[in-house]
Amino acid sequence: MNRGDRWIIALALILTFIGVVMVYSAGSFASFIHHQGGGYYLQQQALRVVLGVFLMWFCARKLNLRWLETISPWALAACCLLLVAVIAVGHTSKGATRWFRVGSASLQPTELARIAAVVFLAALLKRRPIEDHGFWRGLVPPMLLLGFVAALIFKQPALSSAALLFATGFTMFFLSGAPLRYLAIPVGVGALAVVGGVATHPYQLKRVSTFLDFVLHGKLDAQGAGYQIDQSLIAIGSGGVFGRGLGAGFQKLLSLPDAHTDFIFAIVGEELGLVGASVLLVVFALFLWRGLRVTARCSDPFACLLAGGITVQFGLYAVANLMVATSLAPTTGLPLPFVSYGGSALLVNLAAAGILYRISALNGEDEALTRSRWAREGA
Amino acid sequence: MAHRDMRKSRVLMVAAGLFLALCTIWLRVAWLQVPMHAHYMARAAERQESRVKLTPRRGDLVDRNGRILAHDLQSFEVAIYMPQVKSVSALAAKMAPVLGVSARDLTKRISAMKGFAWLEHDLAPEKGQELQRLRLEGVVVQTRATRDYRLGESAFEILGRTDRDNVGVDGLEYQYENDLGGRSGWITLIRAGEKRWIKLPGAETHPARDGASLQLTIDADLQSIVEHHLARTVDSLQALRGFAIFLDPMTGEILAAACVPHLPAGRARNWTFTDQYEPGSTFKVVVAGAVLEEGLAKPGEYFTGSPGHGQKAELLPGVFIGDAHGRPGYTFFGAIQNSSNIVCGKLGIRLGAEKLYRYAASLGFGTLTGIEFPGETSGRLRPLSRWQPRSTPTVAIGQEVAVTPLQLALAYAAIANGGVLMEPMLVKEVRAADGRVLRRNTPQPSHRVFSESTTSTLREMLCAVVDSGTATAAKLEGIRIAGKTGTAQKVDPTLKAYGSKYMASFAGFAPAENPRIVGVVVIDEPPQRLHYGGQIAAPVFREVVLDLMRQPTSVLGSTTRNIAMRPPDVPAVTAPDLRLLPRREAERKLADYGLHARFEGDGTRVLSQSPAAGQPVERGGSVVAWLSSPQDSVGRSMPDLAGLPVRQALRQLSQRQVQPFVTGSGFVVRQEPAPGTPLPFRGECRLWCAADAAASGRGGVSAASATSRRP
Repeated sequence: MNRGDRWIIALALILTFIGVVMVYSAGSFASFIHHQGGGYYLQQQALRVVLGVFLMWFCARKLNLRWLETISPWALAACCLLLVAVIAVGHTSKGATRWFRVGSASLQPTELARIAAVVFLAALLKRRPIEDHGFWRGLVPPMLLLGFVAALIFKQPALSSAALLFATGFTMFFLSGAPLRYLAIPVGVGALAVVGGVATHPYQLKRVSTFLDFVLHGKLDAQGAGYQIDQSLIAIGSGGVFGRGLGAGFQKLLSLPDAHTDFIFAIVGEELGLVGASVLLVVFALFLWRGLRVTARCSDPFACLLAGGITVQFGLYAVANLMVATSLAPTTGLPLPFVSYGGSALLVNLAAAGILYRISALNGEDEALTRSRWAREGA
Repeated sequence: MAHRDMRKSRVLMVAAGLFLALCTIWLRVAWLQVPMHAHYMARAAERQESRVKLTPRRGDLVDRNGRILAHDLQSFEVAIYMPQVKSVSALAAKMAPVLGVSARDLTKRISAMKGFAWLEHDLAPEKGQELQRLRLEGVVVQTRATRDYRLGESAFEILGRTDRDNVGVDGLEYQYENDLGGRSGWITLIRAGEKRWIKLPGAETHPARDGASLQLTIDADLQSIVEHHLARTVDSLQALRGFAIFLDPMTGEILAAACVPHLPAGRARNWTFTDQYEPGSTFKVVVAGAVLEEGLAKPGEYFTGSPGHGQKAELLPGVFIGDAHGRPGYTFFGAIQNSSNIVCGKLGIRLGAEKLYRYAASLGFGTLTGIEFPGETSGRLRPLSRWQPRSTPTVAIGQEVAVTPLQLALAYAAIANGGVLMEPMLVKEVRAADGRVLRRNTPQPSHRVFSESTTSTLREMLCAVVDSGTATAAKLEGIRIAGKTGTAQKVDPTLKAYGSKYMASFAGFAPAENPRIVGVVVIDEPPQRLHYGGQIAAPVFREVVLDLMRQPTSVLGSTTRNIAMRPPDVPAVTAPDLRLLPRREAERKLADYGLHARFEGDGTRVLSQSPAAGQPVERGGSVVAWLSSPQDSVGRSMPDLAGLPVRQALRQLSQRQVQPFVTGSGFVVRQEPAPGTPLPFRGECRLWCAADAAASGRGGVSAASATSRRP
């Protein structure tokens, strides 16, 4: 078997490692308060890393892309059922119903659905290229499908995840070579949907108005809706160039809510400073670059769209999370891929990285084949 | 191929988009972390850190034997923050059982409050902790240190008091504030969440330094004894006031300094240091000592006295001095023994003004003794240049001069110890909280005033005063007491002349052969016919020495053994003062006297006793002690007097220094303030009485009518 792009594996593992360390640093105090002892989150995260690495190895070595393409409709259908089920019987936390709880373990079907949607979309776009089928028959059906899944996610409510799913799908349309004039319409629809979604949910409207207040007037209600973002800025700002030192941050001491999950970047900024934050950004940039490189080299449309979809999804989640942490976007609960605490997301992300590697390995096989053909023809 | 190229360019566009987003984020992070760093650092410090003041523990005051006189107790104070109180009656219902008051009264009190108001300042620890556990909204419970004085009012004028912030405002508490108060510290706490603060390992701290403790030269037993007898004399004579100081003649250590009555904090002065008075005859030892030292007269030399029938003698042209007894003449020895003004005036003239002044000044009169105590006065000894011709005989008999009891006691100490004037000492040791000795005072001789032989003659004279002179009331079997009485007329400030008011005093030491204590007792404004120092001041000294002799161990030391060998008299002992003592200590104290204790009632401290302190008890007998709860034990709450005979009720009130106003006679049927209510300092109390115990059935009626009669 051919060697794939080992950078992908290496960078994913580096990010995961940074994640484990930072989850321990950021979560130990909260763990001490809410669970027995300070190592609870570290232990949970480490367990998922072991599972996730195994899953990544499986996807990187054993996964058959044809099989993946074949089962993708059924997988998405199953995920949709899970999404419906979670709305009905899921575990509610902080005003949103997003989790299944089985004992101490919890499962977030959104994470499964977002990757299943990417896989199915890649398969669909391969079979029915938009440029060949026109706007109504080519673009509208996958759009409706995307809208359906996004609506289920939105129902939890998880507006940001739904919006990111839309954005991922749209980028996949773009990568599949859809004519640009077709794409203008979904952009408008998507924007309208987001505005409508925000306007009908006071909880999200408040966050957006807080953000707009901050952006437009520099005002921040540090006690109310702006509390978390204010604490995040204090964390990042007080880090300075070199940071307070690993483990020496203060904001994680229950001042910054979700320090070990959605706002873990704030703790990176506080404890490791600009240096640490830059390293993290560079690692992300390299990872995205390797993913897009794989995308560009694909000969198979399914593999190409899959790789592109996965990479773009990583990129969008990372960008959205970092923009929230640095108050460039309204507060939403999105994890930072590989780094944030959270089992479902980590497993899915490592598996996705494995799939990326798998695709890169297949590209290598194709290229080797082409090279040998050229060599034969040249001879 | 075209398809592939288009895809490549689209991937590139996506890559550019993501890269741009990451660059924006990086710029944002860099902006926050470099130019805005100081701003956020300040905000972080303001939010995350907090400096908490650490209050030091105030040092203890202990007596010469290490018994605690004053120490800090933890108590609680309770405040109500009205804006947070939702229902006053519900709050009162919850707090009332803890505070031990009725819910209705509490509701009334809380309803009257506005904003933030204190409810209780000195709450017992167990009650405070229980209130803290209840976590009631709007109720602020915090700890504070309360100064506890183990001797109660006793020794008040020496120890002084602290204010509400536990800072010394009076007496030694004030003088040694820097040592006792310690130094407050602080600690940096880190915020954890909205309400939690934690101390991180390695956090910046500046620990508080607890206050140093003072070991005083005061003897708690002697202090109580002196105060007891002084108070009894002042009370029974209805004198204006009395004060007494006792010290160790060999070292100058002050053993007791008592003032009666106790004035409220702020007005209280330790008169033995701060008040000067005209000493009268007690000052005659100065001229006697000086004449002996200079060899100007032998003790046996005869001087003529009153020219006849108690007439005054003309010592100098125009200067007449009279004697109380008016005998025709005395020897020098007899003149001191019988306190002859005429002979002492003559001795003064023989000595001369200059030498008299020199000896008086040498004995420390007219100058501050330098004792470390706020407000000491120097007394008055005019400079020689301002003496008139008549000054020499008048100063010789203790007029025209003013002394403090401390100065006089030190002068007598010099006579007692063989002629050396000692520096007074009130503090033996200043010991840091960790036990390290910061300062240790040792007895400091100032200088020699008299020779050994002079003082031994003087001691003989002073013994004769007690044995068969003016102070026979101080005579005691089994121990020789030496001393001199004084009866000074007070200058009437309006007439600017001697009036009809007196100060009776006695200065002396015991045992005469080997003096262990020197004392000066002064009674201010005793009643007319009982105004001689020998009549009223000398017995106080005697009673004090007697009480000391009865103690197995005391400052009198081994001399007590002589007494202990004697067959016991009946009554052998006086009941010790048990009031305010904890149960166990009371028991121990009684055991010291060979008495048994019988406790009645529940509680931790003795509220009252029978027989009362100072009353005779047969050795081996028992004393009944009524115990009461700690709140009562500070002696500041009204006893329940209903049904008691008036006499008993009055005794109970006088123990608490309450001025009673009695209406009717017989048995108490009603009292005001009510039993258990706190008592203002030197408060007043009104008692309504009915003819006999059977009248208690009508008590309600008469009480009601009494109430209605009240203005």
